[in-house]
Amino acid sequence: MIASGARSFWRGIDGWSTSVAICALVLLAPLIAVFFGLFEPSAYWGHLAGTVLPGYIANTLIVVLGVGILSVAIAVPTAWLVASFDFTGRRFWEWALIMPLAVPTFTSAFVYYDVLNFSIPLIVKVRELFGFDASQWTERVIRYGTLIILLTSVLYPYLFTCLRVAFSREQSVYFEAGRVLGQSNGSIFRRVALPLARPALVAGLSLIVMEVVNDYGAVNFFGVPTLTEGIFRSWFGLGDRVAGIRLAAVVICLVFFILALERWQRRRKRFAPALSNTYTHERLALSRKRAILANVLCAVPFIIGFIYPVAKLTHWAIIASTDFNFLRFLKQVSTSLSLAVGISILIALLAFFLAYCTRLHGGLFRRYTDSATIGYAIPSVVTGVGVMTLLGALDNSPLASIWSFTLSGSVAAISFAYTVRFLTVAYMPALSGIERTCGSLQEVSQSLGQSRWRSMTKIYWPLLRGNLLAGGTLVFIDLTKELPLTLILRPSGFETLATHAFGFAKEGLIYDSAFPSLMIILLGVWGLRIIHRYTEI
Amino acid sequence: MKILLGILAAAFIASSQAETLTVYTYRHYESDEILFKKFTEKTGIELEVVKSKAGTLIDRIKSEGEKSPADILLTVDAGRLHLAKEAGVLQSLRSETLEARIPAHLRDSEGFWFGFTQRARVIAYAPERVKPEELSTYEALAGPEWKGRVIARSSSNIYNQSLLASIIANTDEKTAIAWAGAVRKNMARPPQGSDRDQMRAVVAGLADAAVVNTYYLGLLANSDSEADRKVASQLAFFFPNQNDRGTHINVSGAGIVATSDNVAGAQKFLEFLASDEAQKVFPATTSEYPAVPWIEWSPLQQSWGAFTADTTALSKVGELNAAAIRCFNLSGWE
Repeated sequence: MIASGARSFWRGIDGWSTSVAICALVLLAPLIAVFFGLFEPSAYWGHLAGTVLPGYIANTLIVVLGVGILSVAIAVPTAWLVASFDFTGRRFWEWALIMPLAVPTFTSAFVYYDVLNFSIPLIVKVRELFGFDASQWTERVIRYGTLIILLTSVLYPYLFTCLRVAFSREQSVYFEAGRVLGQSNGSIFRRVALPLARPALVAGLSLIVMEVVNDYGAVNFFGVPTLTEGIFRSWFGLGDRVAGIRLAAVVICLVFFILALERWQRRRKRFAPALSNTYTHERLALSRKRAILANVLCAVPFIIGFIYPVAKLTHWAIIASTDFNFLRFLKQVSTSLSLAVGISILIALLAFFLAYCTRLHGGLFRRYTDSATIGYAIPSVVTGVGVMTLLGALDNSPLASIWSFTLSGSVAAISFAYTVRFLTVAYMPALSGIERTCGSLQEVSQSLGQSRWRSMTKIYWPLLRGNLLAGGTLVFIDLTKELPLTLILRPSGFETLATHAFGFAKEGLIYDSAFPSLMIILLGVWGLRIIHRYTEI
Repeated sequence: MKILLGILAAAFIASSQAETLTVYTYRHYESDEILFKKFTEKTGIELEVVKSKAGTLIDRIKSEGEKSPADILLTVDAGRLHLAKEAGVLQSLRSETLEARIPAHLRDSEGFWFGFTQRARVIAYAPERVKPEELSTYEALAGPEWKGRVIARSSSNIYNQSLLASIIANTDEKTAIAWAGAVRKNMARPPQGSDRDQMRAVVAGLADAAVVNTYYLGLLANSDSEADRKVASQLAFFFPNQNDRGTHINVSGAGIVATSDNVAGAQKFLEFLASDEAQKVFPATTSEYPAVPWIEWSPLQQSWGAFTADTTALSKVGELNAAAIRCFNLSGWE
């Protein structure tokens, strides 16, 4: 058994598998470079563990759980409505409910902190009526609540898109069966749709969890220090790199613990894919009264996540319009746009290649490619510093004499970091596309004498184009919003819309940040439009 | 793909140009862009600017090592300048011009960095609820009479860290922890938001006094938004500790990077920042106080009045930054 396993392993080694292994290694290298430091002595670890660490963990859990639960509460009913029923406005909501994805978290945080200021009279009133302690609790509930709502309002679309696809395509045939068997809509939802949508639920939720633990700006501003804020404080404040890395390790453990918990709970349940891709189901028409209710339900997250921030930003932009530097703005737009377009194409192509390779070698390679896409679960600051450390070491090594340029601080460095972080965003749709193609396609093609390269370009490429477009565009949207990696690694004179908006907002020049923020949202909406038009997401 | 290659090519071409000076900066202000332009006009030296997130620039210079393109590190806060010096990324400079123009407590004693602008950490208060005689020192804010009446932002903020470091420098860690703990208990709400938000909360009646930076006062008073200007007009400001060590100040400063290959150009840049021409820009644009003593303040700064500044050497305050973070962690001030 072992011998045959080893034999098949050796037989598997060829140009393709070597490329995959090298890709995985290169993408993992910055993370390995950082985590080497994990067991070095740390000056402040004991101090941190004894003072602030429990608070960091508690805050992280509160925010993750809060955002997770609220996202389910918003995404499940809206996705179900849009996928299963017909009502006036349905087509609009199908698209509008993903629009908050275009709003950067930090923008939403600045907008909603302003809302928090409106709650001050209430807190003062509570203090007058019920005393100091009561006012503290009121303040805390409002602040944590607002933070959770604002994070949910821009992150729930991850779950919404996963669920909508699951509800409308994969399981439609089961719904019909349920209806034929006389089940009510509510009962079909509870007993058929929801349990079947579980993989989609988990996929969407894990994206949300990873986004939440990675956030630094919003939690810092709302005075809810989480583990990621702790990383900054210990690494760059106390100058204790090892303590920073250890905190990052706690973050990663937390993410994997949550994912493992789900896997354990799911245990042996298996989820077969759709019986037929061509089966189209009919949506049930809603009565007038219920249609109004459905519209109201869909409007709430859309207003909180999109309309209100955009309205507020527009208001700020009008205030700032008197001394608006149009030329500088254009330059930032072109930097953001060329960088995001170029790198998202690169990432989509790499994702396609890796996904195709899973078809060639199966099990073992799946593990390689999966590990190459782990970057998304790692806090950005760690990835950023990892890339910085790795390239700095390369630049100062004898190897550097082979090439004449410096890697550190180059566009290549920042592109590399983006790839480490966002590859998985394009890889997941590519993989799901590959898995939906017929398993024997590759063998058939090869037995007909086609080379792998030709099978990849002539057969899989046309089949996966839609998935790649969707994945690549999602990366594009992420890149226009991206902040920590750009801030840590950017080349000289390099200003994107996001860094400009954040830089000004952080210094209290909130009105000057409105124009670039609106532009980021516009680009994001444009990207989502493309995805929505050409694919099923 | 073509676009990507284009960007890469452009980046390489840009990085191979001669007679440039590369500035790594944490500052994100219009005033600096004005100054950078002026410097290029005056000297013909082109500036390449890398702006980054607080703290990470030092790590970046360190990991770039010998190959680092950085010539100048420009940053807000003495604590970071000190960290940079300790990390070995700066080099010392002897310049008669700089030593004559910048007071000793605003620069490193060995010439590793020089402060160019100052900000004071003051108390903003609601005049209808606080009598000026109630205010005296930072230390007094820890008293029981301030229970539920004071607010400040998070201890991750560098200005709060420097303030606590200055308290440690003048007393000891135990006193500093006790002070931070007592002020935290007196706070009308847990620390959060920016200095501007603290002032808004005072005007809204949540608290009576807030510890804020003069930079943010200027920002509110000169804001494009009428609501902001109204907030500024409803507050009064107090410079604490006038009868002992003086009001805590902090600097933005710069030093020459150890691996710089254009030290002469870098020195020109530092001396330019200390020139009358450059120093005049700060009060007018960012409401920062000039480091050079004879430069005139802006009308707004003059309206706040003259004050005695704490002359504890900022290099000492910088050294104590890590101690300050530790004390905050122990005191419970989040």
